[in-house]
Amino acid sequence: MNEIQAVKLCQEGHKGAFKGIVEQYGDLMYGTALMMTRDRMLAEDIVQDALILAWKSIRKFEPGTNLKAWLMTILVNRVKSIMRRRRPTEISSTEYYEEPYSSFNSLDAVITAEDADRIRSALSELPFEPRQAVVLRFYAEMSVPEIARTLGWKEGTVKSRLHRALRQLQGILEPLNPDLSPVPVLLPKEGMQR
Amino acid sequence: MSNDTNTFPIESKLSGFFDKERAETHAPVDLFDRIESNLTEQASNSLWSRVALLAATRRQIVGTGIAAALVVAIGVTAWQIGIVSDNSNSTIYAGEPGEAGAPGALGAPGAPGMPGPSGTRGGADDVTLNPAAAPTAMPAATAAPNFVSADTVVQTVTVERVVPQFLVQTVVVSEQGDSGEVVVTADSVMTLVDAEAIVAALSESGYGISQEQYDELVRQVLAGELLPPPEPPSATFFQNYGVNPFSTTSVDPFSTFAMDVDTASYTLTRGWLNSGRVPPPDAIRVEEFVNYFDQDYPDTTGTFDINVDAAASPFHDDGRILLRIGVNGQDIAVDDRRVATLSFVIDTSGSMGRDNRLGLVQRSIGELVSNLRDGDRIGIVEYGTTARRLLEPTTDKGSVLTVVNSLVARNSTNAEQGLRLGYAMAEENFIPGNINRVILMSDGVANIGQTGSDALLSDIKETAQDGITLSTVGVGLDNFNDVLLEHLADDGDGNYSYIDSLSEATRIFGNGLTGFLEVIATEAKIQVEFNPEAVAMHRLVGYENRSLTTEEFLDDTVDAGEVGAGHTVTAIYELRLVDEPVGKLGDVRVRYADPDTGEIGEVSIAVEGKVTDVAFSDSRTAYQVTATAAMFAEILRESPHAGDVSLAELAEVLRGLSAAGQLSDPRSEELLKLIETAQALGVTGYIPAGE
Repeated sequence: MNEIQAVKLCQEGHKGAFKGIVEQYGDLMYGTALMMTRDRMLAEDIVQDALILAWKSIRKFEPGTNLKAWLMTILVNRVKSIMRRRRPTEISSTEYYEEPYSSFNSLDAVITAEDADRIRSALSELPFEPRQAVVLRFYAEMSVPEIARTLGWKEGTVKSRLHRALRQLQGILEPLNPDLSPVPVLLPKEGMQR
Repeated sequence: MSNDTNTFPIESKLSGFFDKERAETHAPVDLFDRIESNLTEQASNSLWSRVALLAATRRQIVGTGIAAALVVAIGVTAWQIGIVSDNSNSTIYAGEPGEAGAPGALGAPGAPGMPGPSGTRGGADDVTLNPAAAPTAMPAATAAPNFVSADTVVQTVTVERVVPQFLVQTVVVSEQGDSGEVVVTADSVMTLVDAEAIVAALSESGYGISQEQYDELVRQVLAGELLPPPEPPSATFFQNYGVNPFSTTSVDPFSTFAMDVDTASYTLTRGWLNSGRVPPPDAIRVEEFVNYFDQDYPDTTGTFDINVDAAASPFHDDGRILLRIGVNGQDIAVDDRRVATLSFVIDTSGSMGRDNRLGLVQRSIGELVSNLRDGDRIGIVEYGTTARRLLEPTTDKGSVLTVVNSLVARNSTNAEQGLRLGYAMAEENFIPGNINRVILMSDGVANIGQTGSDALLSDIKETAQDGITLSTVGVGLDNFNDVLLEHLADDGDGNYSYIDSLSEATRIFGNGLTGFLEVIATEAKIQVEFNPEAVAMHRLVGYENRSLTTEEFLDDTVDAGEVGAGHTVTAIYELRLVDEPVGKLGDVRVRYADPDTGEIGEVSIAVEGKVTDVAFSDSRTAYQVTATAAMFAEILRESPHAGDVSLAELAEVLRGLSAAGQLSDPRSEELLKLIETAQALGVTGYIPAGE
């Protein structure tokens, strides 16, 4: 059963078809929520709520269009409405990492456990909005137009925030890891220099 | 990924990191089971059907017309509608399933009904179930045994409107009496106000509250413990003065405007936001936001000093510069202030009884009285249906307080008569060389605009020349005439304030009293001449209704602004520099008249190019707060120049300052709260057509 068929069945009220969709996107949605909130319990609630909402609104979805982006939009809106009520400081950066990265696949030697810890802590220093963009881009592997739609930003805004976020991550990570420096090009040409 | 971001070595690291995370992160194995059980539970015992159920027990008969009185707020497929359709097979459901819980709103559950073959669905916003067509019996043995008996007939269901999470509907329920006749029992399920209170409270808490919490919420609303949101301010008068455009420096290097030290627009906005409403864009004057905040300008050496600083805007992506130009006026020690005769003209019309407006006026004057200096006199005029002189100007603080505190709000309002009596009092008690001021305190002077306003305004202007000035102080949000109060103060060479709280009264009549009363310069204006070699374009953010022509700067007959002792006037400019700026950014000139001698003074300063060398985050706290406040005003007034600026970015700046311990001024903390409130209220700012 392909995705379009599954959506159409859902729209007719077949919950079994929805199960397929949950299985397909559940992990990605959960992981995205987790990356954004850094709180396992919260992420579970969010993904659950988002999928319930998706089921209820499934008839608003046009089969054949971008289901992933649609689900992500619902998810991100849930995340936003939850995070809006939380001060960033209430969330500890270590909350979700119950255990450090233990083992890595030896084939994937690029990222060491040490690297992962550093990146994680660098990510936790990013403000919420740029972090959203980074997670959607790199974790959910969405394109800039998809991210723009999902977050309700303009594409230019997505690009500039991603750029700024990467610059910031670079700045945080650089002194820790000589591999990551030097920075070849820091800034695209903007109208002004400070 | 676009090329411009592909320049970061960490990008591949990030991808690797996230690939790993993705491979190892899994949703709970029972995710679907959880969803399914949740849906089943909701279908049988929907949150929203509980609203109707609980509210129904209230059986409150409201108003005269049934249709007008009976308003119910229920979910999109609340149970009684479902029952009707189960029994009649008629489709009376209106609204899009999921509409209420559409992504992007608050994510409320909205439509509890499962989409499915049994779901009934229509698309219209207005559906009326014709009683003749479908007076459908509602069986007692359904989900809601407490609500209706078997005899109950749902006669009409009208969808009033769709608001987030709710359909607000009119339901007329009839019951079959013992003798067989149909009795309309007026089963008011919920009034609109109650429904809105629930909506508001839900908005606050968001989706995800438990059944218990929700029941508690409904209980509070029904018991009257939860105050419904205030009525929307109505008949409030604002005027749109437009938004300044960018000017090309090579075509027009000048920017000229009259000084303005008022702060009413900010406090008015605070009042709206704190009552849960978004102020209309016309109510926003950027300069009155900017001027509300404490600036960090050093003490003056003369009547005026000019301060400038600048940085690249962190809110825009086009490298534009935010330039702050601050003019601070000489402060005067309390004991050096001239003695004042203040003729208060106090509105005691019926509306002043609402929201304790008169109480606020009384306590404001109490604050002022405790800050008077020896020799100051206060007189009182009140106006309701007619105006009366209650107290001739006296130095006796006790009798002032007695008279003020005895005021009672009455019926009609005759502001013009009140003002004329106030002016008569001020004239009779005029002391040359002293401060002679009429102070109008009102929640709205709409009737002035209708009768003889021109004559009154020209009299006010004339009297100002003779040394009697006018301050206007607004209270209350309803019927509030912002335009006229500002205009009156402008013509009366005084100032215009809006008091939304006792703390604001303290700010104006306590520490700020000297500045409120003592004018150090009249007809004060600012001109900036930008250097086209450095500045490509410039835009003054705000001061739209204070704008002057280039020539008017040197014309001393033009009415400009009055500045009180210790007041600061701050303007924010947005600049776009040329690619390779040469020389200074421009010159700032201030021109004013001495209030006593009429002598003209002028000061000026060059704005050096190096002021832009500082990064925004390294610039002075007051600069950052002021720029943030200006952008907040820009968003609230939906300025297209702030289309890309988000409230979240503004909040971020303030949070950053706060975290660094740099927000010592409680006003800045308050600004952060207001920005967060605006966010919660869904303020988005300018949205270009077609988006």
